[in-house]
Amino acid sequence: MGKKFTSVMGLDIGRYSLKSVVIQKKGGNRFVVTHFASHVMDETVEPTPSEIGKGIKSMLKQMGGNAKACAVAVSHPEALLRLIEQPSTPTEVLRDALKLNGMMLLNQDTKNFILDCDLIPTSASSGKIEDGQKTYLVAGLPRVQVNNIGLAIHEGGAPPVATLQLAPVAMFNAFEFAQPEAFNTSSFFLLDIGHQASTMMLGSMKELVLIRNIDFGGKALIENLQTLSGEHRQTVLNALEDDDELMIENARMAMTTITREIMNSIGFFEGRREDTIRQIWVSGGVAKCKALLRVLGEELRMPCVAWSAAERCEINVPAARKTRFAEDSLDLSVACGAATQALSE
Amino acid sequence: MAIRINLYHEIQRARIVEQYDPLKISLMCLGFIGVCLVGWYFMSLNETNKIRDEHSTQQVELGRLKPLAIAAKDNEQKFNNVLTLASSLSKRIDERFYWAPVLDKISAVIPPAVQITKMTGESNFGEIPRRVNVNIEGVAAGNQPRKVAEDLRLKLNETLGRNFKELSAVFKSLDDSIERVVIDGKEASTVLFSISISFTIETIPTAPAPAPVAPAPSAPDITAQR
Repeated sequence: MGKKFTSVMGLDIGRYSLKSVVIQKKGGNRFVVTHFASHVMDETVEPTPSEIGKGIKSMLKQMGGNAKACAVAVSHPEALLRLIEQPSTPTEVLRDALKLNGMMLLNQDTKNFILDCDLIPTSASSGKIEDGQKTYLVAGLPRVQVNNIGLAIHEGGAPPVATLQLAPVAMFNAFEFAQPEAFNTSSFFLLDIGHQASTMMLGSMKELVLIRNIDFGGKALIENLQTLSGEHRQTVLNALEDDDELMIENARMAMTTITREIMNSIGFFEGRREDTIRQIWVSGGVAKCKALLRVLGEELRMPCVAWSAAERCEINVPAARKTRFAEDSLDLSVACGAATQALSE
Repeated sequence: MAIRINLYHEIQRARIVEQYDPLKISLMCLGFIGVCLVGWYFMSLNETNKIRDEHSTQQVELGRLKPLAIAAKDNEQKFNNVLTLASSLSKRIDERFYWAPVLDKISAVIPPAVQITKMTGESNFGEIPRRVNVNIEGVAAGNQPRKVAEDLRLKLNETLGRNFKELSAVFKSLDDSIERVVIDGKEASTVLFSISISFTIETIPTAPAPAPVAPAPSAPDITAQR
């Protein structure tokens, strides 16, 4: 590693869709988005490396542009993401220790996992500075999955992989990149509503405090709304766009699960920290719908704001695609986070 | 500070290890050396073929020139013989002894009362210094013929001694003769004499410039009377 790139392709390999963005780094710490694309995977087909490779190839064809390297972020149900507290240990040593003593350190057999870890910066309010303990984020993915992703990227004709990380980590980095003031000075709640699952991350002044995955995503939400209203998917989406009162009430009911989980997480965080969450930063497909954000805010009694990692970037996509980029940018946070991290290394 | 997680590190490390595998690098080096050796072999082969071609060409040329060389050698021998002969002839010619000045000097000192009946001369060729022997036989006449003969010997000694070294002119024989001759109307007795003259010359004389022809002295009227 240690190689500096001037242009990187961020690739978000999700369970429902593939998203990519090409970001160039220019002088004066400027980041420019030059190309982007997304490709919805066929849910009926098993996501083999070959299928993913085809999807990547199709997406790259649609996107155009080229980059020196590829930063990949992956969402996977078997992905391992833990916060562990350890005495200060070099990350290389801890990585080997996790590999050899996964059961002891993570209470999980990690023999078939590829693991990596990094030190999480600790804020003064955490109280860990005094007791000498450090917090480390441990991320892992089954070895087979890593190999499959490498194979898929190779088959898809993407540039060589510079980094491979988990989507929540990429989103956390993207938030730091896009909202540095909120990241550095206050507590924050990040909610990424994916297709099948959602990720919640709570942090306070640079420190990652809590990560949670819940099996509730956009797919479950729409299915609930369809069940409650008895309407088709498109009708439901149109009704939400039109602020249909009945559909709003249905949405309130359909989002009960996620609002409850969010409240629990906030309660956990505020119980451990003398700090309050004042705002929820929402990303993902659901964030595109203002009605749902409003409902979520009303239920949680705090503002829910959609954010995109591309906010801090200059947009230099073709004029014909600018409108599309404005719509899709909320989905590209993970890809942008992966790319900007690789560019910043 | 962004969280730096890279789950691809094992594959990347494996690739680096594979890329810098000592066995692979060694094999690549060996392959490179092998290619170099093969290249060198073919270059040498090419050079050898060129030399062989040149050798065969030279052999053909040698086959063509060898009879000519043998013939030339034969010719050289012949020409050398001719040259040796010519040079020896030239040398012989160059080193020949010029009798004319000697005869000129001898004839100049012969008085009218002496008649030379026989003269022989020899010179040893090829030796330095060269020894010349001249033998003069003749008849001297007069009232005192022995004195005439002695005067002749002395004159020869004096005249030739000026020009030649180690000169000796001695009588080999001096005998009274019964013959009487008339000189200027007077009867005179005679002696038979034989003078041997020998002298040496140290340098090979060059051909003298032709001397102006002097008028021959008038020969005395010597009539033998018995």
